[in-house]
Amino acid sequence: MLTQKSFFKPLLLTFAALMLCIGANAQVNLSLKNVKVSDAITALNRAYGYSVSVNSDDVDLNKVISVNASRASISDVLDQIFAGQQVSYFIDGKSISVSKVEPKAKPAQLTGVVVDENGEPLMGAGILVKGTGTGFISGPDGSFALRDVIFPATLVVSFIGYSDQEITVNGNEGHIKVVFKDSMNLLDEVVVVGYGTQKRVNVTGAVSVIDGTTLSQRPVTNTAMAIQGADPSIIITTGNGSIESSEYSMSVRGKVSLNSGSPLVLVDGVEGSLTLVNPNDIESISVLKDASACAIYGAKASAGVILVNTKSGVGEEGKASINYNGRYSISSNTTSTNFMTTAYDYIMLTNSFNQVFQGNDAWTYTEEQIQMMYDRRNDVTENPERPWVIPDTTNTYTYLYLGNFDWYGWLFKRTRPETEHNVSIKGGTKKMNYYVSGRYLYREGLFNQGAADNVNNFSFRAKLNAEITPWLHYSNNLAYERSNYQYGGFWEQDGQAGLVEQGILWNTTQNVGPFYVPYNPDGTVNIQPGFMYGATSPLFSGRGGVWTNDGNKNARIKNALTLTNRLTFSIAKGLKFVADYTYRRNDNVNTYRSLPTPNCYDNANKRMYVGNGLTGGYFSNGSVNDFYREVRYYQDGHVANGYFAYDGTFGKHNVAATLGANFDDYRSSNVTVHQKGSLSDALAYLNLASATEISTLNESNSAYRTLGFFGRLNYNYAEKYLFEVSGRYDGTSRFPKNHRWGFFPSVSAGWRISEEPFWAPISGVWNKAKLRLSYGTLGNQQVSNYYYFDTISLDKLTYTFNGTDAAQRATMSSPVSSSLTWETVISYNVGLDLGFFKDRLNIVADAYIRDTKDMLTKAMTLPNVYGVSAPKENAADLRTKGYEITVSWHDAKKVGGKPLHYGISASLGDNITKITKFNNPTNLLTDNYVGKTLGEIWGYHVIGLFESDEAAAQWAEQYDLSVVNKAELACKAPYNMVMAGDMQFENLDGDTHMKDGKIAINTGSNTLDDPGDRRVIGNSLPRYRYSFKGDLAWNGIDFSVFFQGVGKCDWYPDANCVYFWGPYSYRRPTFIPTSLQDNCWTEDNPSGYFPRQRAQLVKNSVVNDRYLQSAAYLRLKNLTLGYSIPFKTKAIQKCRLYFSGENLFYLSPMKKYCDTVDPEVATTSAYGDCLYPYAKTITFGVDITF
Amino acid sequence: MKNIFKVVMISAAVLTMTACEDFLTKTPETSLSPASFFSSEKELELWTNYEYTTLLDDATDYAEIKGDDYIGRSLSAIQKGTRTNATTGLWSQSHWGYLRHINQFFENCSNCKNEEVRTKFEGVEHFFRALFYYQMVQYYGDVPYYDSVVGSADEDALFRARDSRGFVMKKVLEDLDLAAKKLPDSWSDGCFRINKYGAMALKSRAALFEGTFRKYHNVADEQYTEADGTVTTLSSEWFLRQAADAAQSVMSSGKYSLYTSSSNPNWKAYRDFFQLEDLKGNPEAIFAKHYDVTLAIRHGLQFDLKNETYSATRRFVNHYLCSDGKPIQDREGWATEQYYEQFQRRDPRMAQTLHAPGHFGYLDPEMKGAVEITDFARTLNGYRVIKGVSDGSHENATTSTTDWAYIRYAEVLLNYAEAYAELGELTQGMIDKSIKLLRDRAGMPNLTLPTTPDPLMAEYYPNANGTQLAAILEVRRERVVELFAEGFHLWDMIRWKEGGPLTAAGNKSASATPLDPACSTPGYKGIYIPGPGEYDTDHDGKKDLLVYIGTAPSSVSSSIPTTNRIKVGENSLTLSEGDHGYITRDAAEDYVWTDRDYLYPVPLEQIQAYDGKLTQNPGWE
Repeated sequence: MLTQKSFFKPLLLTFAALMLCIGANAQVNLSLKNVKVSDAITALNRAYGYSVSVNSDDVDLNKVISVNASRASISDVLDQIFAGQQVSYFIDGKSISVSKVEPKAKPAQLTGVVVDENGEPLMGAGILVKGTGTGFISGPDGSFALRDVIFPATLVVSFIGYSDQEITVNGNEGHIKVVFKDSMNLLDEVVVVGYGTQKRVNVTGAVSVIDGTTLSQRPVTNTAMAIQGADPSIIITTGNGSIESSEYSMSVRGKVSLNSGSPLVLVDGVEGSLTLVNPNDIESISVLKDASACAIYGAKASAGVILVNTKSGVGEEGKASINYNGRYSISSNTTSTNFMTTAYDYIMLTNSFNQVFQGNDAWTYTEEQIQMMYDRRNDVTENPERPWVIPDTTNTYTYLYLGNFDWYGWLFKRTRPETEHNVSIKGGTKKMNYYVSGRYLYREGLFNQGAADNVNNFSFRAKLNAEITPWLHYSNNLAYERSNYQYGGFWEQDGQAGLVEQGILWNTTQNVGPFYVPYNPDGTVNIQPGFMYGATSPLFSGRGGVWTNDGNKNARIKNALTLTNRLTFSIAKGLKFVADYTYRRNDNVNTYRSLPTPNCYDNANKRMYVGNGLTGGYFSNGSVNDFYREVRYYQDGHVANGYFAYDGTFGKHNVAATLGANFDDYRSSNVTVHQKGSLSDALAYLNLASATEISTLNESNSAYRTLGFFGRLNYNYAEKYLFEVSGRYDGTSRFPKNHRWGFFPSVSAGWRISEEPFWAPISGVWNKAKLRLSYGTLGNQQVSNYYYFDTISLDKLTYTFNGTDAAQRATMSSPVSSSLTWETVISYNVGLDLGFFKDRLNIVADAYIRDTKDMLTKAMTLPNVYGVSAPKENAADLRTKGYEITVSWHDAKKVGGKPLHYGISASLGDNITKITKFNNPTNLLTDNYVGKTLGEIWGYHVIGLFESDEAAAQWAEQYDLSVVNKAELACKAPYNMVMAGDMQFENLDGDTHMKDGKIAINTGSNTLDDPGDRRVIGNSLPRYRYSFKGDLAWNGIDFSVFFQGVGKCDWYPDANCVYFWGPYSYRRPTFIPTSLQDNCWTEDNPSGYFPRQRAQLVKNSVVNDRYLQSAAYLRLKNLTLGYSIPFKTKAIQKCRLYFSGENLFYLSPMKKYCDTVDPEVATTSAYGDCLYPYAKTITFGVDITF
Repeated sequence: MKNIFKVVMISAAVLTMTACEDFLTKTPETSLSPASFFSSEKELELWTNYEYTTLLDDATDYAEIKGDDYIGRSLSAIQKGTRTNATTGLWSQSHWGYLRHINQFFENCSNCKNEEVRTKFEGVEHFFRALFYYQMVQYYGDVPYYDSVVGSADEDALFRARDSRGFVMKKVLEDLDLAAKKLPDSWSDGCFRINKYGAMALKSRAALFEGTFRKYHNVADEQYTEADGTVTTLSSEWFLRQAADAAQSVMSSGKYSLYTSSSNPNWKAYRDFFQLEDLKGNPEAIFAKHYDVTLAIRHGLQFDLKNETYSATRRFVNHYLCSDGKPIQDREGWATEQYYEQFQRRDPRMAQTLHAPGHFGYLDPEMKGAVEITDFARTLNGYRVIKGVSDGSHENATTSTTDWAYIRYAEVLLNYAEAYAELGELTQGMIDKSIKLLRDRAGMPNLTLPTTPDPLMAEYYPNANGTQLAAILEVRRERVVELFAEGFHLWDMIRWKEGGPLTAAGNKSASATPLDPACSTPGYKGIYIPGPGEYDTDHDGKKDLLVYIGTAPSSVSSSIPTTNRIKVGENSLTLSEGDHGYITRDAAEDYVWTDRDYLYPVPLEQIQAYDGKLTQNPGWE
């Protein structure tokens, strides 16, 4: 043991207290003059019995000294004996050993080289003297030089893609060589699990970990997007690509219930939302997939648990480290936006479609007018000689529109910038550390016109960890997030659709053609062009000019605050008690301001609308009225946890236990005020309501509580045989008293076979093998807060008894089954963790079965005399089977004389869910039935397109086509029959169903036993979810690539999907993919994919396999290229410049006929898939650490 | 260290102890609970308000209840014969839910400790339960009877068979008796809430329905054991007598009389009643619905009349007596009288019900508007309905605010007279107490108790029979005329078993040479057109109607509006004799009326749900 004098006393005191050492307190009297050191030692031995051994030749025993000690301590005496010599001594009772000490280190230079396992120099490695700001980035030869190092020192060596290494240097090593070991040392990896951590090797459940560094390297704005593809069990569906990022749905291992049931997201142990976590703050994310991992969370965890763990400060003396991460990105659509913009082609095509459908033109232009369009067909921009808007010489209308207008480009931004600035500071001392971060994020939205469309996000996090006494630690965690999303459009759409973009985006898909322009030459807004109309177009009648009027302004402001205080008591060795309390508050304000459109010109009726929306005379049809609406929502949450955690080792027996309770209390309140008419156009406040025009005033409050007692017991023998039992007893306010409590146990076991002696012969190649097994049950309590209560509700009527006010009436809520209780989820999991070639190759595989029992669904159908819908009962079951496998390889090679570190990994996951119990005795296909696979699509088989009118007629003679070819038969004569180019549907069920003497191709009785001519033709749920990752680091350059995809998924385009169907969907579509025309069947193109051109065909046609699209895809999710500049200054520890591309491209069979809909969005839409586009994002960024 | 343990253990203990059930009970904050509701007068009122708004039709709906007396642009399913057992009709979950709501009241109303208040609202719910079942019996005949809330697990109740119509109607009358007993004489809201006389008036209506239905459909008598053990024979006669007594009790109360004043000197009280903006305090209004322009509580009756071009049929028009009290067929050339002549010297109610030549289509208080010709944009066949038509501002969709009487005193008088006529006990004294009042108001001579059946009426109502057949027919004439387009006629025809005329095909008389030549061919008939040409229908010296066949004449009098240029064969309109005759609607529609059509089918899917316990009405299987 090496000590220095200055440290001697306190150390000695400590030892004295602990070891009852007498020596230090002995009083020595010794007086010697001008004697040799060796003589003094002898004298000390004689007088007091101390034996002094000198361990170094460098100690001068012949030095002449004097000693004058009276009632002195032994150390004082020794100080005098060895005065002037740099020695240290260790006193153990009467025996003293003396060593030579090197001269006290002055700040000195330290040089060295960083190499990899193979001895190859590593460039770009960061070397930091721990606790100081001194640092260096290794040069091309791996060398580094640190000045002013005070020894002994600890060096932290970091390199991209590896975990940090620490090395202690004394200063006498000379030119040091740091060997950078491959860091994937899974043996010591710690995994965050419920209420604690576990060593990776000891985990028996199905848990996967997503490393935070991989998240923060990608320029994603929210965590939900970042974890897509990160684990094959996770399916993330972002409802759309909206910049607000509020809507996503997530499942772990597929759908857990026919009712709701989404994974429990815990941010630092408190329920939260992935969209409200700054991705830069994340240390790691644990995905708990099976019941054994989730059981400690009980009734909320049936659909899996996502544990997000944020970064913390560092606990050493020293300077803080400051990180700045800034980026600038540009987003654009992943899909094509090439739509027809030439009026001539557009008119010819849509008219031709409509001639077949209705026997007239879709747009009533004369031949001369069409000729004028033809003359302009090459004018991408307006040619002054051939204006796009001219006076109507027929004098029917004022203006005639002949343009080649790019409506997509006018309405929408094809590129959308975003910026992000993120600063974090961490530091601390041994007893206290902190982490503080702040982020500003700005994103621009899709809409080019009308009010501003953007989102401003601010987030802030502060964490503090302090040792109050050695047995009591305090920590806190404060997070605040503010999102301010402003957008245009009008509320009615938002109110109807739930999300503004969906409704409005869908509205833009109809009734505008490229010939038309938004403004007339006199600057008025175009409405009612006359020869065309469209009640739901956002620009034209109905919602006149909404995009030309920035008075339609809306905002959603969200504030989320989470504050956690935690005390950790160290009670005894290995035993601690943790108590925490969290307050959560969400405050949201949504505002909606609508105004009718001023300065419109009604071309059809030659009528001008002027005014500003208050003075009248403006155009307002139906829904865009003058109003202000405000919705205020807040949520208060109180969460308390208290638990004991024990960790102990007894020889080879390792025991860990957790026991505690959790209490949640949430209350939310929602107030809506809607005011008609405002005294101001510019200001939007409720007190500006004109007269008494508050038309809606509504408050609703809702609260729930849960209380749970949980426990977990882990035992392993020599980290070889692993066992875990855990469980939770949960109660919730959501169920009636007698059905309120549920107990959810689980057991799991693991066997690390590779630790057995018999494995030794092969461990050189196959170094790791672990088998995991688990079984457990969980609850699903996801019903609404007061579901089991009968309630009386009041509503206002259009009925009056007295002529002075409208009457109200009272009704009772629909009855609920009195035995309403939890849905139960039982899961079985078997997993394998394998490692080969010293963990270069790793394989993790899991297979599972998950049974959901007692799902709350309709029970038996009751007769109508019951008077209300039959109450739901716990009456249906489903079963999910699936697997996940991840294979990874990482290694280093020498390339071009430089070391190249690389890693690749691949993962695959799949699951399939079938209904095993459901009350549908006749197996009606309109409902769920036993044996149904979730997501299945029923449809007809199309043999092909009729080759000739004769073949079609012959077919129609034989078969009744009134169901499958209904749309064709409904067209205007002479096209009201099947003809060449129309779909020929196969009759699959023989002559089971006849109609009017013909064999009917129809749905039969629409039951499983008699499905008519329909079969399951596909499945809309994604199967075979896979990903590939690769990363390499070379010479300061880092590169990573991430592909992600779905192997099988079917999409039948909705009849409203104009982006796919063009005029087959609506006769006057705004957007027709340019590729559509060439893919249509025509007499000149008999091999065309799309059928004969009939407008609105799909509005009445049937789902079939010909137009079923494969939405399987392979996407380059991310590509990142970075370079770390080797600064030779201690001010900058790290400076990395990077480029990153998100969603750069995708491959999909769908692209063949549809490159305007992203396959990932296609299957999720309720709005005909005309959604906020999925974004491709290109980013340039810098990451600096000071 | 000890302290830490203490803190921990106490915290744990507190957590555990408070973990009792109440700790985890969260009751809804912003909604009310049935446990505490039903206790105050306000709450009972709120609850019973529901029934007014669900079981009573809107004024607009009455225009849609059509029979053979008037038709519209679209014919009803009954007229078209398109009812099937797949339609849900009133046997829907939501409609049965209204009964559930009523029975929930009876289950919970004991929360109200104020007996006086409770009793009053019990009366309301008795009334509405009676109304519910009366309607159900009208539609379906036998129906399962529930006077309590059915539980989802109570399979015996849920899947019970139908109760006989006699039993159910007896319950209806019992409910109405209880309602009459418990309901107050009047409310502060006046006739806009149901009172005891309204309950008795409905009793007269329901009992008359059941009594006549049983008589004309030969429904067998049923035995009913009363609560006290006595057995009542439920016969046609029993119900008729109940009807008569109920009507008598309303009449003898002296609370109601016919409305004889008029708010405007330019038209008569009869028409005026149907365009009043406020029926509160009106002596004739027993139970009514109020509409209000400032509260935006409006209806679309007038819009429907215009938009659906509701038009009376010639068969109906022939019900009107001449102003001297003689039947129309006594008038020379009556069958081929044209529009103008038809309106001369007739029961004044005719010109207050249909648009008459030289009259105003709208009510124009200042009589400044131009005299209107009958407008074929507003009528199918020349007989434009103006009953319920107010001024022009009401003509747009849902802009009418005229009040609507669910029950008016005139009906009670007619129920009274009809019940006694069917019983064979009608006397001149009874006529003087009832029909005479209606005739007096209309300005018609009184009815003398007839002994010889009117041949035209006998032709129109071939199934009518009884010792006082002549009186029955005259009472029916009075009823059809007085209550035109108030929602009665279809159900009258059904209870009288006169279903044929309800369909276009059945509108043809069974006789090959009927007294009314308009009934010699199928289809609903309108005004008589002697042949193609221009007509001055209102005799104001200007041509106002063109009827042509084939191509339109090259020159047409400019005074004829484009909407009055009728092409024969277009818009389902023909002339009954090809190039002349009655304007005929839907002559070609050949629907058959059979006995099954007197009842609605029980929805097929309900029959299936019952697994054999629920039977279908005959003919609908």
